[in-house]
Amino acid sequence: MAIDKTLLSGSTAMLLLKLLSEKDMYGYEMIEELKKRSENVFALKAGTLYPLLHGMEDKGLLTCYEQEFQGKIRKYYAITDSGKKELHERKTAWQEYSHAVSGVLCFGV
Amino acid sequence: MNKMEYLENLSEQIRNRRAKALVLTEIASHIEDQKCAYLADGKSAEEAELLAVKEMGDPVETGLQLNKIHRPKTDFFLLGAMAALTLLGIIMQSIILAGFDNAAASSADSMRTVFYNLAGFAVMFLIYFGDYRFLGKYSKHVYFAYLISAALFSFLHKQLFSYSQAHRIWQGFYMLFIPLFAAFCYAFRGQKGKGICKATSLLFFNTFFLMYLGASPSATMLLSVMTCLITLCAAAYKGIFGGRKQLQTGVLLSLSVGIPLLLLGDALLLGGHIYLLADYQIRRIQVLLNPAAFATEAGYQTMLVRTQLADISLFGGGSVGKVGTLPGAQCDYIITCLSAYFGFLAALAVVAVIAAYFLRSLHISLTQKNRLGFLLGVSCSVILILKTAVYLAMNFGIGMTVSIDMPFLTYGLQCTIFNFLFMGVILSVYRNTNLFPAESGI
Repeated sequence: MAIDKTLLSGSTAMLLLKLLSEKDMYGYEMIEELKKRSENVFALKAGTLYPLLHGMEDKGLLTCYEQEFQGKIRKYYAITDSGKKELHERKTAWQEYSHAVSGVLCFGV
Repeated sequence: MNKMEYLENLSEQIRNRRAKALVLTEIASHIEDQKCAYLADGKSAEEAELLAVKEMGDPVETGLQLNKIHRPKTDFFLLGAMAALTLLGIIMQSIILAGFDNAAASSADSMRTVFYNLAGFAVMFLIYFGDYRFLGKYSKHVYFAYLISAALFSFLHKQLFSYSQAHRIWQGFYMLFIPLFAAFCYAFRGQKGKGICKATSLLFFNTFFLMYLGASPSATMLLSVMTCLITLCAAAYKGIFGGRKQLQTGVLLSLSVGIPLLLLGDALLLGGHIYLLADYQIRRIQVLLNPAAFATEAGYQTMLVRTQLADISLFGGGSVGKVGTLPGAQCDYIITCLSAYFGFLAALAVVAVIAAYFLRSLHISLTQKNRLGFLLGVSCSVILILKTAVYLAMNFGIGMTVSIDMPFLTYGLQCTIFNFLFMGVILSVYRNTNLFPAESGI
């Protein structure tokens, strides 16, 4: 079933923070990992990803560094303590929202 | 659309030249990764590139969004507070100078301080709009020129300059070494213990080489060395040298704090015999700890400050008091005079602005992702903070009288230029926060 992408708006940052809370990643790796874990539901465009990553870096949620990998210099992103706090808050809010939606949908069923 | 066209379209949306380079490298690398994945799926090179570019999305939209983030940053609080403090400094200096007997000389000095500050602002803006990475790239060349200048000055200073002029210029060499040392810490990045040893050796070499050439030990020299040691600790803590950063920071901190404590303990308890402190050095430490015991000699000015501060009112008495009549009060006691003239509340407000100012500078520096920016920002913030702390202590009757200036407030060409130079570096680091890359990981 095709998923309405507007459901995702606003939560992409949370998904990226979650990925980076597990390990440092570069942009392409994040898109692939997101696609894999969501079974191709979340196919994020690079044009959406980078402004988001750079914005989060500017806010201090992420930090980045360059590292050589197989002869190529890659820019890796890592989550900061503020990023971890932000992830926790967004996760809590998402769970409350999702619980409320489920409550409404399941009411009387 | 092929890769070049995509990058060109995206690049056109980003206004800043430095930001373009930063963004395009990452985006181009992403297209290459995507292209490799398509090649692995059996697509032709041309088809793989077209598909990879298609996956990227709209270059104009992406470019516009990235342009919003990657802009030069301006800290209006720092710029505004700097202008306000400078203006206050000029006013306060003029008030003090007006109280001196020689009216013509005082008037000339009041005019001079305006020009000194204008020159300082010019230096600051020159650095602010420049590329601080120059220092990282050419640190060895700049240091070579620095050493040659110091050697030439050592041959000429006795013929061309008075003792006090030469002393000030030597102090300038110690101040100039601070950003240079930060650049060297950056140059030694990733070299682990070897890098730390190199940086420490450079610090010792520079300090003693300048003394060998003719520089006298001074408070400025001491603060310069302390600033370099703090920069070194910060570099280790940030993991710039690579290896075991906690161990490195622990060792460096222990040595930086332990050695001065040993000297102090030796001076106070054992008369300075173990570490061979000179008599005048031991005396200075004694005056620092108990100025009242030396009230008619080295502790006189400190006791005078204390007496004056005991009488100040909340809103001031419109007089700079006895301290303001001391020769050089426009350099050494501007805050004490300000407290007497405008009152305790005004002095407190000024100190609060200064504290907020330097906390902001330090915060900007500590949060830099560019390692050279981090080191330069930390070193320049630390020297300004140390100078301010010593100056305030002296002005509130806590410390002994030393020749230290208060950034933005006190009189003097050289100190004004250096303070603005350091601020220029900090503001330039902030300006380029989103324009320069983070540098290679270790």
